[in-house]
Amino acid sequence: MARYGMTVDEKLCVTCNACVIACKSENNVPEGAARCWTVQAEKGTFPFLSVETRSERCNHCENAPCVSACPTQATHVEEGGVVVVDQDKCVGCKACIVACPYEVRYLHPDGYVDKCTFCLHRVRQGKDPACVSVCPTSALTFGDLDDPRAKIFQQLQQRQHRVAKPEEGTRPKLFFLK
Amino acid sequence: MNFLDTLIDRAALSRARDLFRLRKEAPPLERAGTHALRALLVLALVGGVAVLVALARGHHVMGTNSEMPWGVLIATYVFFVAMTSGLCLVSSLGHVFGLKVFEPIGKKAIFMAMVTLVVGFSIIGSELERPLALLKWAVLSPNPRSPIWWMGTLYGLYLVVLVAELVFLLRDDHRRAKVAGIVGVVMAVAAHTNLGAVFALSHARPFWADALIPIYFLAWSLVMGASLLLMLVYLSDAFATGGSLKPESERLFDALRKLLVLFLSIVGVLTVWRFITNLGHHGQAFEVTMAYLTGPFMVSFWLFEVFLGFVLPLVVLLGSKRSSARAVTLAAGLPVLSAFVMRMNFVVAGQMLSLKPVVGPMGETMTYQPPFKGNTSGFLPYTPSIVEALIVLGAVAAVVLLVVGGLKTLRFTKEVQS
Amino acid sequence: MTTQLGRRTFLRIGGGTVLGGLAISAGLLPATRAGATQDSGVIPDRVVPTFCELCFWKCGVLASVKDEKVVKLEGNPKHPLSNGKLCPRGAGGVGALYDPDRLKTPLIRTKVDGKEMWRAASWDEALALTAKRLAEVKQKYGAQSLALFSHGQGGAFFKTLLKGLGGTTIVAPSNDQCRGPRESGYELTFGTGVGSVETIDVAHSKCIAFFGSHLGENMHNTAVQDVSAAAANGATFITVDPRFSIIASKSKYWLPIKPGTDTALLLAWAHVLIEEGRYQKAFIEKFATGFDELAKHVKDKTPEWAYVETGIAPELIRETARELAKNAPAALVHPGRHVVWYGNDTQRTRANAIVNALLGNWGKEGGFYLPSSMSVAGYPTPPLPHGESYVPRVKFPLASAPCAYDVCDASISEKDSPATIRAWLVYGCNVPLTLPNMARTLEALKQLEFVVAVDTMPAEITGYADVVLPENTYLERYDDLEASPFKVPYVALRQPVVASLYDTKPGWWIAKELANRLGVGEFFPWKDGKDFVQTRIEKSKLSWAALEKDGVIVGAARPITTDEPTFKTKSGKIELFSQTLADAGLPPLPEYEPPEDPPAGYFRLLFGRSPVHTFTRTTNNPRLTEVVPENELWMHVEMARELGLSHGTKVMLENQDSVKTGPIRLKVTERIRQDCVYMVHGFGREDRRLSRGYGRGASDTRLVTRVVRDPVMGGTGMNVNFVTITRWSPREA
Repeated sequence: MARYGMTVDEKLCVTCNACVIACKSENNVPEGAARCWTVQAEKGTFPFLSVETRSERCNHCENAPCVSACPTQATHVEEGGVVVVDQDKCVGCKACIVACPYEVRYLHPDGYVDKCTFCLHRVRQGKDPACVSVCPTSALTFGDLDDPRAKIFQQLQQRQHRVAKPEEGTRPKLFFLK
Repeated sequence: MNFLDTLIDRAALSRARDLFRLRKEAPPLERAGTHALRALLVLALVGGVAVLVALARGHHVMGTNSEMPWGVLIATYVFFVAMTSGLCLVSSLGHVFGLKVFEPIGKKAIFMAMVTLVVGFSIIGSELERPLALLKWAVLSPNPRSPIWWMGTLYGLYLVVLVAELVFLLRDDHRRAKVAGIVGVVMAVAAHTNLGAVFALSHARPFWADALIPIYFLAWSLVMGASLLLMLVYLSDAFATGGSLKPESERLFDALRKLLVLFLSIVGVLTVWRFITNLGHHGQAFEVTMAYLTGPFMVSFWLFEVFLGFVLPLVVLLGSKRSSARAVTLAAGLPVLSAFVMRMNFVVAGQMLSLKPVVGPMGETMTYQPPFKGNTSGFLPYTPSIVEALIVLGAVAAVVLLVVGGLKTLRFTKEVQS
Repeated sequence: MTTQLGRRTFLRIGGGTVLGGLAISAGLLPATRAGATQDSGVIPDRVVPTFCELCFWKCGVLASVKDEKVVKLEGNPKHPLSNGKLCPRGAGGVGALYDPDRLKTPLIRTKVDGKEMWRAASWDEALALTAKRLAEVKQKYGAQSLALFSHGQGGAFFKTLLKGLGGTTIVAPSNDQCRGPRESGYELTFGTGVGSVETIDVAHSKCIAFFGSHLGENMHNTAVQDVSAAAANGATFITVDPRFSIIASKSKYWLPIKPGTDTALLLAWAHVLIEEGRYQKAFIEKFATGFDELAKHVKDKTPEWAYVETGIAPELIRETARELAKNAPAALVHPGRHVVWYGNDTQRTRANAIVNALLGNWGKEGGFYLPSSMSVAGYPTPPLPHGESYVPRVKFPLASAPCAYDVCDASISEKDSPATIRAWLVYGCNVPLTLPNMARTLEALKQLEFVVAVDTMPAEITGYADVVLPENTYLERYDDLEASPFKVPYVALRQPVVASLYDTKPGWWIAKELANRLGVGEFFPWKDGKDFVQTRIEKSKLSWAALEKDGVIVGAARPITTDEPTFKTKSGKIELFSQTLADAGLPPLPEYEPPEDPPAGYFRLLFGRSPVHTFTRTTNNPRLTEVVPENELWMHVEMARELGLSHGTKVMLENQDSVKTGPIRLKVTERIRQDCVYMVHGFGREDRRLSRGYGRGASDTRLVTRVVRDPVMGGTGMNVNFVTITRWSPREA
């Protein structure tokens, strides 16, 4: 059983937003909402500066607070540990939005909560998620965290990395490579 | 007498419309009451329309958004179901725990509890995007890890228990009423503390994620129970006597006054420790607490929650030797107002710090693309939409109308009301 | 689309129960959303390969179509420019197709009660009118009075049209408002321009210096892929920019140079390389001329001298020069792209080219590569007439092409000098927001006898046209083949992905129809756009079926490096010292000219690109404006504090000629020098028909009222404008 994860190489990401726009087409994300987004974090004083650049999305946490919060199991864990919302079962209570420490979810105009699925429909066809596939800087890598042949496995062995808000204890599967 | 007749006075029911009929010769108090009831009816009907609009259009007509997903409807829901538990628990002192002084208000209290719960359900129903889907999937696809699932389940069962308890009480079936009452007490505590846990388990929102919250909610519900019953005792006497407390109610009134002092004090202590522990923490809980003490919530916190909700009522309630029954009743009503403000503040405060802040944890300047509503500097704004506001007003009106109507038409006492 | 329990459906079933809670207890159960898993995705009916037109890079695109709607665009993995990837604009190209504000029908300017208005017209009427007016102007003033402004693939057809009419005045802002000086500088030095796609092997370079080139924000797909590959390989980046750009944040060295002093830094680098003997001696000896003159020229251009000009510490200048030298010849000073900055731009580019020559990177891996292009046959067409050129008012000795700025100038009659240009045919160029000195452009547009604009979107230029001919977007049309020089030869096809949404036509059709009406139809002998490209592919012995299926044919790779490079200069060598310039009376070695300093209280206005936008072309695109809806004005924290302005405040800009623009939101940041402000180009749209772009952000172009002309080729140096910044108040609206 695969355990899917993604890395974001902050060295390479230029926050061009190709991921955001490709995702919106791929997943028919409504206007005003986004399943992924980019962040620039500026630090320092002229001329001693740094800018962290990355693309963010659902962390597909192994210990996902949204999955616990959902009263109807609409938010559930799919194959590969991908956290997915079943639109039919979603009642729109928004408990998952409140529970998520990363604000990756939004209420779809049609009345259900929506978020990144790691493009599971593409992954099932053997493709990368849309954001990974489009990325002109190849800053995003998707794969099985347990497969030693996977690029992501090697990256996480060799490169310094961090996850978002580790103190939440959510065990994210989105890793930021330094 | 058939089953329904044991519960409802049909004659009174047929005269229910008279409640809204203005009698020219009636005393001023009654005339004022009629006017008030008419206004409440209009409000309730408008609120009903607002509920329909909310059900039809969902979040499109709400002031909430993906950054501030819960708003005034959640606060109002919590407000009403806190009443439910409080009324149930305080009144149980009489018909469950056998304290004679509280017995006269048992039936009315349980009835009011039922009304507030049903109205609370209406509000949460209009807050949900698809309320019917919850009914279906809570059964077919339950998630016992979810506090919201427990909330639905416990309050759903609780409503059944309350209805049963009321029926037994109205039929003077004391044995069954007591069993239902005991179950009701357990449900009242379980359901409302679980509602506290809906917030307390939100680890992502540190202001809420506090083990004291379920206890705090419970203490607040007791305040509201005592307060509402005190007002009920005084008001039902006052309308009959033209403004004063009947001598036979004095002991009950005084007992409720003392209970209210006790419960308010407990809430006070809990609040103090919640705030002090928050101040001792770092990060969001601290920032939000400072927003209460010196920030955007300053006025509503110090004025409504502390002064009007706590200090003033305590002064009046403790000085009752010199306070008239009317003043005590007014003072008892203040914490109810405060309770609403407190819930509104609590719900908003828990979400007001953006999870995508413009200043990062290391002081970085953060830029997000696409720009989200929520990543402005400072606190996230929330203003209820018109639909939300009308639902809240309508709900308050509906509770008053249903309570008044119920008091007039249900057989709370053996003798048939004339 | 998934069907679902709509709120309305619920109400229809549940009916008017006053309290929702009661309705719930009525026990109604919802219908289910059919197939409603969030992870289902869309399965396209077909995937059509084509190439992009959101910018000039022209990446290969795979367009997925579902129910005759383009649902997504992905990079074509077979196309060497996209390698399966796209930039954000390319991915958002769907927004260009489905922009509700598109031009949907031909428009003719008309007067109703003295008020100018648009009138929707039939193609027949609009084309007949256009042909009549163009014929009249040609009759009256000659073919050289017709000018074509062209940008984009379909421009080829209009060039043929103009040339067929005997005209030669074909201009592109991509010359004198963009990369013209770079091409001149490199041609003068190496005999060859850098081209587009730039012939630099960034991916394999070990050290790259970027001068104001903000790749990453400037999102040329392959170029950014190469930069990323270099970064992943551990290449050292040196970024010279007054602003801490994204590429600066990826760089080992950021040199926050005083704007306009780049030539001083380049000369100091040359000084270090030569004085410390770190240049590629054998290479220079064998392939370059004028080394001694250069050495003499830079003898006194010490880092200490440059420090005074640039503000960059001498040690840092030495260290970065050594870093480049250490990695030579796989080291590169990026030639940049938009280089019309201060007027001395050809000379600055020459300095840039000279440093590259000293690094010996021509024809080397990690340096300049030798491109090749697919040879594609032309369509058998009668030879075009050899027309006369128009005579510009100002002449530049080494201009290889007419300048758009001068054509605009020649369109205005002055006291003793009547206009020589009388009609404009504008293809895909938003001239008012592209050329500097907008007032002058508008004066030209006022005086011209006829202006026809071919475009897909309403824009400032279409607002000033007499006739607007709405073109199909690139997803609805055939176009000229694309076979630019690159590392590998390729030819790419643009073909319609879906049928025209509106009463719009492809450029080839418009040009051909106009040609027929103007009596020059013989230059358009092909049946249609498809015939035009298919015949040529088949004549070139290439497979049309393969091209239609894959969107691109890639030829056999040829070597891109060489140890024996040849140069098309007069001397056949790299001309460090340029006799050509000397003969034209210009400095044969790049001279540093100190820039004019901003007056007190003024900031130098700098502008650049957003990764999500291409000039004004995309600032109404629904997909793209959602991500970057407006531009911001970058200002240093200290300056903002002095002016009492805070982050997010709306401000107005006013230049030294009292031109005001705004409001624009302030970005208060440490990431820029105190003497300049910066904004992204393309915003501040003025056409009200642009529902998303209108009034968003500010236009830098309006503020560029002054230019310094490049004495070599006429480029318009635009970074010479100064602005003051004041808080905006709603009363200014």
